[in-house]
Amino acid sequence: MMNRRLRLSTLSLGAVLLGQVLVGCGAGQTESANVSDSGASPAQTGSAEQIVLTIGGESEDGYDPTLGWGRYGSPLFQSTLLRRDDNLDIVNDLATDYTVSEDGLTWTVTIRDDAVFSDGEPLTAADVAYTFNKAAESGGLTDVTVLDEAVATDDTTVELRLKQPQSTFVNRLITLGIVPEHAHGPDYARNPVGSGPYQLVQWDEGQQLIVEVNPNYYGEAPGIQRLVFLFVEEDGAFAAAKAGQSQVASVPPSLAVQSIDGMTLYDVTSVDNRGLMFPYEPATGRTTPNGAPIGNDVTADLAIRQAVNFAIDRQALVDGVLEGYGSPAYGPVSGLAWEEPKANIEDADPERAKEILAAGGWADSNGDGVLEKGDLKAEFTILYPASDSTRQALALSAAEMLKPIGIQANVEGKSWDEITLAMHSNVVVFGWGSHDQTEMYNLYYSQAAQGDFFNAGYYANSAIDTTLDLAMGAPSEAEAIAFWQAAQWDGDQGFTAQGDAAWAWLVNLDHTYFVSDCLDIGQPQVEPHGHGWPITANIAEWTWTCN
Amino acid sequence: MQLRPILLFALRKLLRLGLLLLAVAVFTFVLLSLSPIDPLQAYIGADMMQIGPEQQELIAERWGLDQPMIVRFWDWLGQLVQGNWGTSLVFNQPVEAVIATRFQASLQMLAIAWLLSGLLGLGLGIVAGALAGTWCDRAIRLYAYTLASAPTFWVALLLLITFSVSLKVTPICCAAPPGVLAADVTLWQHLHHLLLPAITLSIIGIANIALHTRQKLR
Repeated sequence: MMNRRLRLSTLSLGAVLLGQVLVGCGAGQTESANVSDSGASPAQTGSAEQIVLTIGGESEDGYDPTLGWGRYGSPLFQSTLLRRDDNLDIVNDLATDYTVSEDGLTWTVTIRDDAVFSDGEPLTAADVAYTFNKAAESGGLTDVTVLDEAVATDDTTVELRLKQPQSTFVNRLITLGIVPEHAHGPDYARNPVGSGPYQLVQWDEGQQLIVEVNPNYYGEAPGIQRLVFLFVEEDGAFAAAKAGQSQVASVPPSLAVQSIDGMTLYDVTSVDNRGLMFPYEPATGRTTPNGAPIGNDVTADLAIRQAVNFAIDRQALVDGVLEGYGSPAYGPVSGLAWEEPKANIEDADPERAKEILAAGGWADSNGDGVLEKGDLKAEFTILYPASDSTRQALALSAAEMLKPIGIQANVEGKSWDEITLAMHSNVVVFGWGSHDQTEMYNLYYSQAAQGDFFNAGYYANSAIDTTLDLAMGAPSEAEAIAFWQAAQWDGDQGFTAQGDAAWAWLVNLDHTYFVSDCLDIGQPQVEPHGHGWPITANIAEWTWTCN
Repeated sequence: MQLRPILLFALRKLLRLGLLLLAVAVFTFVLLSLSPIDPLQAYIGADMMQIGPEQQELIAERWGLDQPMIVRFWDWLGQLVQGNWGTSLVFNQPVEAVIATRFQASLQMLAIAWLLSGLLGLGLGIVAGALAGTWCDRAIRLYAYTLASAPTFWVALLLLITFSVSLKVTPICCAAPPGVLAADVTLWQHLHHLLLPAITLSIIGIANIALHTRQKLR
């Protein structure tokens, strides 16, 4: 009896508690529905006053150019001496003129005298010198180590003195935003002050960045007053765009095939490349300083590397793997001004590949469908980072295309840590892509190979080294271009397919964005590696075209 | 009279806590130092080809990676004892500041989640215990076992798909509506954005509490 009463009372207590909570829950839901109606409307659609962008790109360590902020896309808060226009040509920004001395060691830059930081202080040559000196000694993501010192010779002239000539130094003038000497300290990265088109209003880390027009900006006033960058994953970006809450959304190609009312798909060409890197020398037991083996007897054979280049159908990779959002790549800089167009080959030609292999001494002597040369079987492993489905698909498709010509490629996904140990002796699907030619230099320069990602295949050709050195030592980018192109293919030799075929470049990825029909974003640049932030390169010129 | 044993007990527990924390710190440090992941490479990522060896040395120097493991650990411990928690490499900000900003948001969410899961879990547990063996008890147990074995992030995804994407009654992201300044966020907006994460955490918490309560009543 007693027991029964207890049970009843506990039961009723439970029911009461449960009931209360259920009522509370129901009330909460109706309230939330009301809130979403009233609260969401201001952010729903864009206007000239405000747009929302879901393009990722949050810089977790803040917005300090001397630590690498702004190395692609727009630095927003700061401005740079030079910049690249829509065609990637170099034009003045803060600089009014610049000259490089005969020996290439002294860059003299004159700057405009009307630039003002967002705190009202004028920007002088001393700030420029401070920025470059600071960046040169800072352990961040911008490499200014070639700078010996920067000296302001008067209010509008600064001399950048280099340790050795470097034509690619111009890229530092293009990417390094100028910081104010008087307001630069440990908390600068979270409170950026600069002479750029926008100024920081609020940064909710991991969530959003709100910026507003900088009234002190010397250039033409930006067309959009306020930008809200929402930091969500790609799926979230797509959902936000679909709900009309985002006006610019970067989406992966798999989502780009869908359509969104009131938005246009921008399919932006990039130099975000993918390619197969070949170990260049035979395996002789040599190892890297970390003990990783160097060399691969099969890929050390020129005929194999060239045959792979000719056999692969790059357009089929673009259509099949990238859903059409990409373009064939024949070198590391396909689509840029310093690409050598003559280096391009007629690919998807298995017959040509077979001829090359036969001439190289490869034959299927035992009839198993795979070629041999003496004791050596035409077989190698293609490694890709296991987390990257695009690289996996590229590797598998490429292997499939090599089967008919008698080359057996085994495809394996591994972690980056395993790949870094195996990449000097196996074929790897790598992806790079930059507006800075330093990358091309480090991919192919023989001395760059030190057992890390730099020239991971240990490619070595002294003639190419000489050409690359000439390009690097040229006083200007314009003069360097002829050498950069000659290193790719000069009609006689080069590192691309008709020459040493050190890599088999496959594709350049397109970067896909949904952009509101009311937003004019001009002509996007050919973008570097990194899908998202690069679209902001010309953000100050964007305009809202609807009322 | 009574105070001495209590004090002793507390002291012993505190000492143990200190030793445990120290052991955790040592293990974490050693494991991370020995892990094959190179923090330098992880930081540089796809910019690798533009960052030369000299610059890589500068980065390693800024982070103290050029020092041996023991020296780094000793430096860190010495500073910690003096009240300096150090600077976060990822956020380029003092560690106190990084924790403080995130702790606030987490605290609110946890408070709501604990309250809800406590009340609901207790209620369901009592019902299940009182009506043990009936269909009601079975239904509650099925619910509890299912959720107790479901990963939090998976449940969160399901709820997000249902309420944010399909029904559009809760927001998809963030602690406040996009583009609204911190000063302009209303209490309702704040609660609206807190709702789904708090409910998600509650739902998971309910399962354990309900099962424990039921067990005690049996």
